[in-house]
Parts: sequence; structure tokens; C-alpha cells
Amino acid sequence: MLKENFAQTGALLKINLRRDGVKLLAWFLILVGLLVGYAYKIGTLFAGAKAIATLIATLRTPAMIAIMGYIPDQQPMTEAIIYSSEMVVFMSLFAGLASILISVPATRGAEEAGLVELLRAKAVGHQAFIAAAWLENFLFNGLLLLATGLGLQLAAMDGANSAGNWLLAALIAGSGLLFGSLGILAAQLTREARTATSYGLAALGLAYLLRMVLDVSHHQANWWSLLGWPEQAGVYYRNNGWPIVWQVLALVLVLVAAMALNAQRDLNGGLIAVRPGKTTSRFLRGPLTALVKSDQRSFWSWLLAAVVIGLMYGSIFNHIAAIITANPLMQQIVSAGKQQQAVTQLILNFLTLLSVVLAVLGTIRGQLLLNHLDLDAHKGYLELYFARPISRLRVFSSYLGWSLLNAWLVLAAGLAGLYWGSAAVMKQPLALKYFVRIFSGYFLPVAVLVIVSALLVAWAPRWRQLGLVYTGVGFVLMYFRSLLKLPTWVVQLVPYGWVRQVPLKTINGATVLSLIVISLVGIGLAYWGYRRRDQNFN
Amino acid sequence: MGATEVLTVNHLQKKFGKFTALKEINLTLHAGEVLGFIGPNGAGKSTTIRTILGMLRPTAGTVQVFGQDAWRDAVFIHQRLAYVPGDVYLWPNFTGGQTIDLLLKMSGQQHNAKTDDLIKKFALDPSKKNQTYSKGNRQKVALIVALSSDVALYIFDEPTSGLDPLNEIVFQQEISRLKAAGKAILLSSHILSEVEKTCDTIAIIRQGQIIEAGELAALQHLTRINVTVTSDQDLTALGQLPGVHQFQQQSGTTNFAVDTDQLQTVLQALAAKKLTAIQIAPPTLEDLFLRYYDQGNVKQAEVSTHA
Repeated sequence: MLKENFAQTGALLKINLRRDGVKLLAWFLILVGLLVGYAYKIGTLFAGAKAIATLIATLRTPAMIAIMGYIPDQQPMTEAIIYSSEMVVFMSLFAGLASILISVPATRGAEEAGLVELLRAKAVGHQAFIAAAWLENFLFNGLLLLATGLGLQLAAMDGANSAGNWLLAALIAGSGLLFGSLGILAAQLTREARTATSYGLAALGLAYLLRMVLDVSHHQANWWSLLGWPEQAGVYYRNNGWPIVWQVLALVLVLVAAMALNAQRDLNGGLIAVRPGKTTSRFLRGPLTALVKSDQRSFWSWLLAAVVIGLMYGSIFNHIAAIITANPLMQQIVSAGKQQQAVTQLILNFLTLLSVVLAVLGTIRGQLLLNHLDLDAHKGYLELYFARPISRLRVFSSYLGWSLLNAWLVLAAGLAGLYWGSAAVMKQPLALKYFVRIFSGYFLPVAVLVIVSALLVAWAPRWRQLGLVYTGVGFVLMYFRSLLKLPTWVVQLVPYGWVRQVPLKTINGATVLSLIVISLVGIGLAYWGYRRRDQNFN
Repeated sequence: MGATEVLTVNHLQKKFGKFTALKEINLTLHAGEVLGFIGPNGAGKSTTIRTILGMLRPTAGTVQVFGQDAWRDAVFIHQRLAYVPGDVYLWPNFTGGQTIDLLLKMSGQQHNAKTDDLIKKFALDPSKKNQTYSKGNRQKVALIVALSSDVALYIFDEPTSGLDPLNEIVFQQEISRLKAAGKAILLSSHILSEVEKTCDTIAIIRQGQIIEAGELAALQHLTRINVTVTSDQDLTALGQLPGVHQFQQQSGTTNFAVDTDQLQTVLQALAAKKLTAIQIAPPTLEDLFLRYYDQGNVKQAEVSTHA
């Protein structure tokens, strides 16, 4: 039985490790670098009692709790407690992201590529691919645990203790492994690796948003979210080990479910059978309509996800308003009308941060869609276009146009959700004009990033993922610029940085003009490159 | 011939970085002609075809279709051209019927009676989603689109590699129909017998070079027929006949290859013997290459003796 199901797992694991070597190393360095690097730097970044007091005050605002996670208020604060409150949710999120992006390609990705079929015909066990993918995840997160634990021990932050160091490392690695296993489970549900990845990411996003809503309202209840568990441990002050036990139990459950599903289903099949459809379509007539139709499901999922994310962020706005109105000092020194102004100001400050989240969401949607210009060539769809009287300009502009439109639609959907969510919970809702201001501020930076992807696809298709990396860098710079006290020129290295004051201020004409010029030049260069290069398929 | 040249490839060379995929390709195709383009896997057949289709830019040499430049005037050329790729990949969530209509529309063609006829002939279920089709069925979708298009030039890249023998016959019938209608056809394959059945002229490509080209009849000298006979009698004498090669005997079974022009003599000699079984197989691409290499060696040997 054991032999039958798990034969050759070791050999598969070796293949996986060799194939994913660079990816694993990159993620490992990023995660450990952030965790250990920040632990070493926190003392110098926030030197002196005043700086720390300001930081704590900032972290205790509902806006920051929503983003970073719960921070204890009954405890004497130490460097270590600040560190764990800031890092535990975010790094668990990153470890989960890395693990999903490792486990889905190793399971459904390999199956889609035909590798599983090839190898299952040999003496390879039925569950061996799952076992190998899981072990790969286990090794990755295990090493992450060791490196982080050791690094934290050596960093020796004020108020840190060994139990806390190792607990923090274990929680983050545990989250990684748990979400990696969920990725394996998702890979059993659907035929396409792309869909499996989005299921995994949806679970991750939902866990993050759920804990956000719970953290700002009833943080005791945040164990409803998988990403609330690491917070429940109270690293460095309570050092509660139970969340680790929950993680292990959940892991076993998920893994058993994945294996049971795998044992049930057909090779190359998902749980949902593919039904026959209509033999004609009035809609389909060229590259654009083909792209729209083949991308249909993603289209609706992204819009829906953006609205939900917006709604959840919007639903915590009343808590932000509450801290001003509940503050007796504020009530004494500021009149009621001024109070409202202060609330608006505070929320607008929070919105400068949220705008980036929604803009990044839209950008990623646009960039992923644009990358299809290259992916679809490799899949062979474009060969069918270019053998017909269809110009490269038509194909290029179809993909770029649809990508830009989608990036803007996702941004708009997120803002709509945010507006509805905030309007539902606030006594005096924020004016619509601020949301319009965010859109008009961010739609050009979003476009510039999508065009960066277009340039990569046109000139260096092998490096097309760099567009997404650039967006990721932009997100980190914008999100942590105030915490890390980044200089303006660094922030302005990414297009988002040019409009960082939105919606506190409106975007100025000169910035609009330069972004438009950059976009147009970028589109021209990208098309020029696309027209003159070879079309390589398969 | 005298017919108009539909396709002219002159000294085509294609490099990918440092790698030279095509060294020297020359092809000519006239209206009403079927050109068989054969060569082993990786010889450069698909690269040549994609250059003809304007998807790849020639490093050197010229490619002209209908007298126009294949790269620059691709859109214009493709109005009168139909193509079936070697590996057909289709949008997974469209049905076969939707895909056929879409591809026809993009070619400026209509779904017509011929399309329905072909769907029936190839026995394709057009209501199924592309992702559930096998390789052969995906190939059928592309074939149906190409064969129901009314254009001047048809290009097929290993079109029958996923088809069963029944569908292969349908395909060959369709090729004959197109040929009779005066269309130009470029048919790439690595199976010599497939090309022999339908083609007038062939071009053989190996490692990015055309090593033989011409009318099929003129190239027959290159081909040998494989004969296997079983007999109680001693056949050793056959090995001495002119034009007999690779003569092998093993427990009553004799294998050898005969030059096509010597077949008559050998068959007469065989007729005199008492045979229990005889099998005559057409030459394969492999045989042809072997023969080509033999010749190459002879030429080299001659050169060295002269020197």
C-alpha cells in the first residue's frame, strides 16, 4: 500500500528541487532577509523613547492594526513585541504566498504540462506527486524556520526570549506549510494550474481580510482566520504554543483531504466535469473577442475579488472615525465640526495607503493579462492568428487594450467596494469625490506599469515577470515608506510614488502630463519591438 | 511547367542567436502543384514554414509568396493562404464548432456547406470543448478550417501525425480535390510514403539544408525497395545480382533492398524459385537517407582516390 502510493517520491522530490532551485532560493532569501534584517535594524530605525512612542501610537491606530495586525495594549512594550506585532501577520502572508506558488506548479502545473502522465506510466506512486510537492514545501519552510530562529537568536532584540524567537519562526513557517498544503488541495479541484493558484491565493486573501476585520473589532475572535492564529500566540509576551498545534492539525486534515481527492479523480481531470457547449458563438470574431472569452472566468473573479476587498477595507472606516470621537482630549480641544474634519483627514491619510493596495491589485491584473501575449504565443494560439490576415498591430493592441481596461476596471471595482463599504458603516460617509480623485490619480501609474510589462514582452519576453517584480517592489516601498522612513527619491522610483499624496491632494497637471508622455512613448516602443521580433511558439 | 510561381524561397538562412536553424533553403511551388517537404524531426521544416508565414524574419535570403515579401506583406499574403500547424493548440474553453467559425471568420472565410461536410467526414463532434479533444481531434479542427477555405495556397505541417488511417484517407482525398482545382500545396512530413502518394515534387531537408529537390519520378533513383522472402531453397545467388544491397539471410528468411531500376531483374530471378512468402515494402525516409549517405560516401571516396 505504502509502496504502491508513494513509490519514487524521493526521486520526484529531487527533480522538483533541481527545477525550482532558483525560485526556492529567491523566496528564502527574501523572507529570511526581511525577517532577520528588520530584527537587526529595528533598534537603529527607532532609536530613543520618543521615536518608539510615536511608532507604538501609529501601530495602535485601527488603520495600522488593519494592515499589520493586532498589537497588545495591556503589555509593557519592548522592541521585540513591536517587531512581532508588525511582522507576524505579514510574513505569514508572504510565506503562504511563496508556498502556494511552489506547491501548485509542482502538482497541477506538472500535470498540465503532461509530466505526471509521463511518469505515472512508470513505477511512480499514485500519491507520489503530492508527497513530493509537500516535502518540497516542508523542506522550504523547515529551512525558513531554522534560519529565522537562528537569525532572531543572534539579533537579540530588546525584550526577546528564545521561546519567542523560535515560536515566531515556527508560526511563520507553519503558515507557509499550511497554505502550501491548501495549494495542493486546490490543485486537486480544477484542471488548470492557473485556476488552482487563484483558489489558493483567494484562500490566503480571505484569511488576511477576515483577520483584518476581526482585529479592528474583536481581536479575541481572530482565530476564525488562518492568519489570525499566529497573532493568537502573543509572541514574546504570552508565548502561547497552541496555534502551532492547530496549524499541525489543520495541515494533516488538508493533506488527507488532498490525497483522498487525488485517489478519487482521473488523471488530468478536476472534480468538475467539462460539459459540452454550443457549437456557434455570435460573439467570437477575432483576437480581442477570443481573449475576452477565454479570460471570462478570471474577468469576473477579479472584479468580484476587488469589490470584496474594497468592501472589507471600507467596513473598518467607522473604527478609524471612532478613535477621534472617543478620545476625550480630542473632544475637549476640537469642536464638533473640526472633529469631523479631523476624522476625514485621518481617513484620507489611511486612504493614501489603501489606494496603493487597490492600484497594485489592478496593476497585477493588467500585467498578468498582458503576459498572455507571450504565454498565448507559447501555447500556440497566436500561431493561429499570424497565419491569417491579422496584423501584429491588431493582436498587440487587442492584448494591451484589454489589459489596460481590466487594470482600470479592477481599480474602479475596488474603489466602488471601498465606497459602498465605508458608506454603509459611517454616520457621515466620505464624499464620493475622494474616490474619484483616487481613480484619476492612480489610473496613469497603473497604466505605466502595465506598459512596462508590454515593453518586456516585446523586447525581452524571457524576463516578462520582471514587470510583476517591479510592481511588488512598488507595493513594498509605498506600504512601508513611512515606517522605514524612506527618502522621497526612493519612493519616486516607482510610478505610484509620483501620486503618493492622492487623495489628500489632487494630482497635478505636470505629473499627469509626464505620465501620459511616458505611457505613449512606452506603447510606441513596445509596439515597435513587437513588430520586429520573431514569433516563437512552443 | 510554365504555371505561375506561388512560392519562391531563395537562399533562405535563419539564425537564432548563435544557432543556425536554416543554412540554405531553396524552394519553388507553382499553382496546381503539390510539394512534399520531408525531413527528420528537428531538420527545420517548421522553421521554414514559419518563415514563409512571416512569423520569423529571415536572417538572409528572400521568401516570396504570390510575388510579395513574406515578412513585410504577411497580412496581404495571408488573405489567400490556409495553414495547419504541426501542433494544434486551441482555446480550452471554446467548443470545436465555435473554434472552427472563429478561425474561418479571421481568415475572411465563411462557414459553408463544405465545412459541414468535412465535420461529418472527419467525424468531429463540434459541441465538445477543445480541452477535451485529443491531439487528432484538435488537428481535425484545424484541417476542417483549412480545407473548407477557398484560397490559392495551402500549407500543412505534418497534418496527419495524429489522425487514424480512415481520417488520413479523407485527408488524401481532399488534397487530390484541391490539386485538381489548381491550388498550390506545401505538405511537410517525415513519412516518405505519405508524401509519395500525393506529391508531384519533393524537397528533402536535413540539418537546415535542402539536400535533394525535384520531381518525385526523377528522385526514384534514390529510393530502394525492401524485399523479404521466405523460401526452402537457397537464395544466396540473389545477393550477387546488380542493384541488390544489404543482403541478409537468417533461417530461411532473406532480407534485401533493391534499386528501383533493377527491380525487374530481381523479380524474374525470384520467380524461378519456390517461395512460401514474399513481402515488398516501399522505401522509408530512413532508407532514403541511408542511400543518400551511401552516395555521399561514394562521392567522397571517389574524390579521395582522384586526389
